[in-house]
Amino acid sequence: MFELQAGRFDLPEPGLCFELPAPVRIPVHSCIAVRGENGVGKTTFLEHVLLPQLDAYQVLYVAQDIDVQVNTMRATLAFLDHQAPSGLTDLVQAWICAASDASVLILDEFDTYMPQGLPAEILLSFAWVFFVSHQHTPAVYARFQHGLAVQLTRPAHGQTVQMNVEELWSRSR
Amino acid sequence: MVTFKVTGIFAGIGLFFGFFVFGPGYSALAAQGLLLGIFFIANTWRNGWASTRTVCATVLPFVASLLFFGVIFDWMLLLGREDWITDSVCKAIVFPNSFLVVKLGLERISFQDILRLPLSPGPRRVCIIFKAVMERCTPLLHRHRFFMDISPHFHHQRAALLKKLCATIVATYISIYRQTEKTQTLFDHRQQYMRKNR
Repeated sequence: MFELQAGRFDLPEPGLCFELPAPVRIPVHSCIAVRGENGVGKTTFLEHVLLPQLDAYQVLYVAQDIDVQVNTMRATLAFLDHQAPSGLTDLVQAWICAASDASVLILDEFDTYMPQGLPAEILLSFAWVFFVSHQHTPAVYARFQHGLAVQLTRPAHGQTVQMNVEELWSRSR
Repeated sequence: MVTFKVTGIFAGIGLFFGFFVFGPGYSALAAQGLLLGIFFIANTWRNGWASTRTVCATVLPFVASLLFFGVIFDWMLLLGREDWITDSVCKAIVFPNSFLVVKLGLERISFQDILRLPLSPGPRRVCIIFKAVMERCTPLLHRHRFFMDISPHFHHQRAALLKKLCATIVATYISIYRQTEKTQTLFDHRQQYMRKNR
């Protein structure tokens, strides 16, 4: 079980403040959709609020600026003595598979670069998958036992981002 | 006017290196410290606190390793020398000073300045591409460091920190190389388009 802590998260550099009114307990084998309008702060939430809380876990973060991150992926695979495929999809998959102990996967608008998404066997091997997507949620995510949505809203384009969590589905084994 | 400006900037950088890096000013710690303060204030005034924090994050690993090895060498009395710590402190101040003087100097040269310089097309193209690539790639080092810091790939591996550092440097190099190729292609295409439409 992973708990997203409640509170007020002040981020002076992006100039935003994230508020979560109550802690959120996220069971194992959950997919969590991070939703909100363009510019509301989804990536800032992932990098400055969520990632620091996932310190105890091994996290794979596929960023929105994948065109920059691919070079980090190539260098990482090279230093692990793994082959770095030339295609983006194969490269990301190879990079993910090279970290066999990772339990958390974060995908920031990855469907922009890979509309068909990652293979189900890769996605479902993670305990928690957080994803940001403006497109229709792929059916594979419904195979997770639990589904949640974190809705980010910024009233009147102010500096405070409200976070509301909704449970979409929950199935027992 | 632009020629004087650019010549002045390069002359200033050359004078700094000639006196404070390779000359008698190298071991003048008080002067080096004062310069460091001036450069940090100038960078903050021109580019903001975030930029100064970024500069500190960039130079800190190098400064830390200089001091670390200085202490180790001093303890070992390497080569019979007893001044390793003093020398390392000098290097630890000269390095960020050199970084900042080049950064602040080159930042003052705009694309308009490059266009107005009396350069032939080949060198002008090189200068434009160099400036465009540096502006684009400067933030990338920190982004690569961020990605590498959160990456779990080197956990439980020997020399994990060293591998992460090397991978960050390699990633940055790849980014610079690819950005240079892209910028060159873009520049050449635009030039061809403008010539076609003349």
